[in-house]
Parts: sequence; C-alpha cells; structure tokens
Amino acid sequence: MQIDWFSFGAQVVNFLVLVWLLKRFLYGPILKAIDEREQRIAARLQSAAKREAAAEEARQSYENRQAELAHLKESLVSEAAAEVEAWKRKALTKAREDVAAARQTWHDSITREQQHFLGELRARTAREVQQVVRHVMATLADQNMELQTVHQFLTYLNQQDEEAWGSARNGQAVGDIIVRTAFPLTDNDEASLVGAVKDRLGDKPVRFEVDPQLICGVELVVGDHKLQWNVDHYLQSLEASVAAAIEKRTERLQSA
Amino acid sequence: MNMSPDEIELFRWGPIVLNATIVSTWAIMLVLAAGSWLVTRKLSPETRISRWQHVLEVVVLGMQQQIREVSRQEPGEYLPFVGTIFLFVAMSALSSVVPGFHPPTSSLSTTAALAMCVFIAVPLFGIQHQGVRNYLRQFAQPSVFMLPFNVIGELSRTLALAVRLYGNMMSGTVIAAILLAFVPLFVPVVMQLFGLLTGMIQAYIFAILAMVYIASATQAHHEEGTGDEITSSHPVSQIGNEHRQ
Repeated sequence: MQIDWFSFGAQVVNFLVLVWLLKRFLYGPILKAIDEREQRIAARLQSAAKREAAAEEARQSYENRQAELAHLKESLVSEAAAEVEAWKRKALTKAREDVAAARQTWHDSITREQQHFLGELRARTAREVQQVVRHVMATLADQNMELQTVHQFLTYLNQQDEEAWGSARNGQAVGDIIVRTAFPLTDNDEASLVGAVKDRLGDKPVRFEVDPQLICGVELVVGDHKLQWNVDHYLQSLEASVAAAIEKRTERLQSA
Repeated sequence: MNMSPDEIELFRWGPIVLNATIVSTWAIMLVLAAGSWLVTRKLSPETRISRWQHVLEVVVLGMQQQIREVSRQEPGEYLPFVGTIFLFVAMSALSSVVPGFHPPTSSLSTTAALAMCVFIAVPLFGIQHQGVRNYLRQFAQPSVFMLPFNVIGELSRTLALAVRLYGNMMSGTVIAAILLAFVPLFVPVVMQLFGLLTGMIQAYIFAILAMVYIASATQAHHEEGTGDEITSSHPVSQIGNEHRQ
C-alpha cells in the first residue's frame, strides 16, 4: 500500500477536469432545463389561474344573466298569465253577453211566434165560433147572429153611463159618426142603431162601414172616441188561457 | 497478484508512467462526459422528456436534495464538486464488475487524490463564505490550546477519508480474487454483487462526508452570527459521526 505520487497528481488533475466536464455537460444543462421547465410550468399555472379566474368571472356573469333571464321569464309568464286571465274574463263576459243576446233574440222570436200564433188562433177561433154560433142560433132559436149582435150592441149602448156618452159627445166635433160592423146590416138594424145614436148624441149623420176584421161585433166611432161590443174580450180570455198553457209547457221543457 | 492498479504500467516515457489507474480513470471520465453530452445535447424543457434525460434529472435532483439536507444550504455551488465525487466513485464501483477492468478507486493514489481535493476544497469554500480570518479563527475554538488538535483533526479526517475509500474498494477486489482462487464458481459472483452494494454505499459516504466537512467549514460564521451555534452545528456533526461509524 503505497502512493504513486505521479498517479496522485494525475488523479487530482483528472478529477478537476471531470468536475469541469460534468459541470459543462451535465449539471449546467440539466439544471437549466429543469429551471426552464419550472418556469414554463409556473407560467402555465399562472395562465391557468388567469383562465380560471376569467372562467369564474364568465360563470358568475352567466349565472347573473341566467338569474336575470329567469326573473324576466317569471315576470313575463306572470304578465302573460294575467293577460290570459283578463282575456278569459273578457271572453267569458262577452260569451255570456252573446249568449244572453242570443237568448233574448230567441226569446223575442219565440214571443213573436207565440203572439203570431195566438193572433192566428184568435182569428181562426173567432171565425169558427162565429160559424158555430151562427148555426146554433139559426138552428135552435131561428134567429141570426147578426140580429142578436146588433141587439146586444144596443143593450150595451143603453148600459153606458153619461160619462161615456159625454166623452163621445166631445169627440163629435172631431169627425163623423161611424158605425162599423163585421157584416152588412139590414135596414131595420141600421134604423135601430141610428135611433139609439140620435137619442144620445143628437141628430147627426151616421155612416155605416163593413170591416171583416171585427169579429162578430159592432163599434161606434165618434171622432177619436169609440164604443164597441164584440166577442173579442171572450177570445182574449181564451188567448190568455192558451198563452198560459204554452208558457207553462215551455218552462217545463226548459227545466227538463 | 497486483494489489494496486498503480503497479500495472501500460506506458512509460521518462518520469511519466501511464498505469492502469490513470487509464481506467480516463475511461470513466469518458463514459461520464460522453454520456452526459449525448443526453444533454437534446434536452427538452417541455414536460415530455426522454428516458435518459429523466434518469439524469433524477440523479442530479437526488444529489441536490442530499446536499440540501446535509448542508441546509442551497446546493448550487457545491453540486459540481460533491456530485462529481459521488458519480466518479459510484462509476468506479460499478466498473469493478467488468472483467479485467481495474477500478481507479482501488488505488490509494486515487483515493488520496480525492481526499486531497476535499482537503483543499474545504478551506476554499470556508474562506469563500466567511473570509480568511473567520475561517482560521475556528481552529482556535473553543480555546487557542485546541489549535494543534484541530489541525491534526483536519489532517486525520482527510487521511481517514482516503484510507476508508481505498480499503473498502480494494477489499472487494482482493476478496473477489482470493475467493476466485478457492471457490472458482458462483461465490465470487455473490461477492461481486456485495461489492457493488458496498461501492455504492462508499460513494454515498465519501460524497456525504465531503459535504459535511465543507458545510462545517462554511456554516461556522453563520452560527456565530445568529448565536445558534449548538442547535445548528449539531445536526451536521451528528451526520458526520453517523457516517464515520
């Protein structure tokens, strides 16, 4: 075990050269590369942090916007719901009004038809009654209906009080005295009527007219005043009864 | 049987003797330098790196970490010196498995040269860090009477450093040679594997001790300045003692 001093010196030099070589080719480049990588990673982390911050900001903004949109949507929906409710009420009201108007129209139409029907009924009934009465009287009492009608009208005139005749006298100035019948009168009948009128109203010209619309009746027209007798009030009673029956039937159908 | 590669002369020109120690040292230097150059010429600062670059980075960072832990200082200026000691000794130990190759660390001349480098580097780093006066003053601590003992300690630890490495490296070679004479098969292989392990440990110990000595020389001033002499000097001393054992 001895030291070769030449080898010793050479190894010292060799070692120092090796230190320089490794510093040049190993430690320096490796550490430099590591430092660069660390810097790049740090830069990337910094960039990532910035992006994360930006993303967080964008997310916050998006959430705020979403919340605003949700709020807007909610308000729009509530507004639309209110509008729909208002429209619904309005439509319902209009529909109800339309239905009421239609019902009223229908009701008016029904009423008109009913009145028309009743008018027809009354006219037809009057004609039938007139025929029947005429036949019955001719057959049973050997009397005609017209004579009885005039007789009945004369009785009616005699039963009128002074007040009614007073009104007739007032209407005398307005126009002529007209006796209107549903049938042509005989001379005797005309004379009886003229006599009755003269007793009450004085000697005034009397004009006779025939009006088939008068249902088995006679009417005395003095100006704007009128005294009449016919079977119309009987027929009105019949009409009222029929109308009541129809009304009752209609209500029963509607309730069913 | 040649006990030392110094005795194997390959070329002689006057006083210049080219023996196996020097040639094997050059071979190891060539391997280390060329290998480093081949890997580091295409270094990548990206996150995807080559396999060999990864290996070198692990080695360099591992050495940095060890230096940082031992010296409790940044390893920047110590890494080339201490790291080269470790790599050279480790590569010498590895090369012992190559048949016919004489590891240079089995020569006392080489280990003495390495110890001499440490012996010179310690005061250089110490003076660089704390100045000539402060560095020399620590030899007179705790009293001036301790000066001769401190100087002797400084010399003896350098000698111990050289002899320890030489003894361990040479013993592996000698034991392998002796066993080869007695039991030619298998057993020398096992002993060579043990020799590899021992060589790696010796490389680590040599480098760590060199760093401990340098750290003790460079930290004295710092300890005086902070008044934390006992607590901060003890870990280094303890590490040194542990490695001595």
